[in-house]
Amino acid sequence: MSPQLFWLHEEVLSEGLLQKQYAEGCRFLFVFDTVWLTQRPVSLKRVQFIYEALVAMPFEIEIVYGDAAEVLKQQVRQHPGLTGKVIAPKDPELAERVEGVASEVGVSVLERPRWFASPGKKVSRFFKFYNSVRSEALQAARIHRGEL
Amino acid sequence: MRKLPSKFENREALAALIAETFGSVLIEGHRQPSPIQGKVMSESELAECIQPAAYARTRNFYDGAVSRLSPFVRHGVVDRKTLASIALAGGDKPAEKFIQELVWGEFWQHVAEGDPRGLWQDAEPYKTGFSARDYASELPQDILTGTTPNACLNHFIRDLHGTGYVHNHARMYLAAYVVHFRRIQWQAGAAWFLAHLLDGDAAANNFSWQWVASTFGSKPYIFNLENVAKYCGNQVDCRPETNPELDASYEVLSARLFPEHAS
Repeated sequence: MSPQLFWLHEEVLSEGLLQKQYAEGCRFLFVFDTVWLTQRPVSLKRVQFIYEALVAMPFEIEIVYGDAAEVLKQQVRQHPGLTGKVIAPKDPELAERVEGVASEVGVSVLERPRWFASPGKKVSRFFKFYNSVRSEALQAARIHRGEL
Repeated sequence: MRKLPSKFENREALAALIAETFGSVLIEGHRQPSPIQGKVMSESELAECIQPAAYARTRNFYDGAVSRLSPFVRHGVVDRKTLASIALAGGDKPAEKFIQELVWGEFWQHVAEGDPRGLWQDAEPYKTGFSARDYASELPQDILTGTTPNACLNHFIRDLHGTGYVHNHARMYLAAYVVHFRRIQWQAGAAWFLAHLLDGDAAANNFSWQWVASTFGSKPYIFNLENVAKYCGNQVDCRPETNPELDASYEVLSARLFPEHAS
């Protein structure tokens, strides 16, 4: 049986997150998605930064350049019964792309980890937002630090 | 599709591979790697980058004690909660401004989630006396090549194109210049920044451009040469003779840039 596939994207290059919380025992795939790169063009510098972060990870990541939907379909063909997962991106446009591909190829989309809960209703002024989340944000940081 | 290698002789070899493989989807020109290298960072390495007390005092200065970790946050190499926890090691009070800055990123995300169309559409009308159709839709060559009439702005454009990192204050100067001095739609500038910035994040970037433009705020943000000299003068050419468009008082600039509004 193939190990579960963890599909990485440009917002999730965290060693700790992938090793400890979400992807233990998975094999990792990062796709430089030509459809996304065409929609949101970037410089060589940006691609290189992402690439360097990927190869610096202390575990093996398969890196592929191509249409993410086609790459994932090929993975499924090569490994029948393969299951996969991906963390939902923050960027609404990238989220639309990732969730569309995930739905097409049967990859589960996991909710992304959050520092603190956002206010339930839309807040469009920063200090109103800050004052409503400050206490929870500081407490979460202290817990992370092991102070509480 | 193409499987890519995970080992390289050096950074230049990786840049050559990217140029060859990605050629058609990369933005034109600018094919040099950034001096900022992607990597995994330990907590002690992160802690060396964070000086909360100095950050609170100097963050608005071009050479201020900012962490420069934003590209790593943008790509999830490190998360904001971890940075906040490191900052808190020196006490709550010195850490407050640094943590506020981290929360700004979460705020922009909150705004974008509530209004995804606002990533590229005006959230509100301009408060400049002009309507959206009065603004050009493309950046002119002198901005794209860093050859504007103003030396300080050309310096910041070289930062953007050469390193993929621009100090936050300089980002605001560039955005205000593009939108208000040159009367170009904020969307064109936002796309330009997103393509080059290593930390380019659509929510923070685009809504910040909207804030400067006044389509997500109550008034346009502008600056003058005196302000640039105050915050950047020891690093950047801020002489009046090499920055002719910026050398004026706020009153004069407001009247020049927003004549419809003034009348």
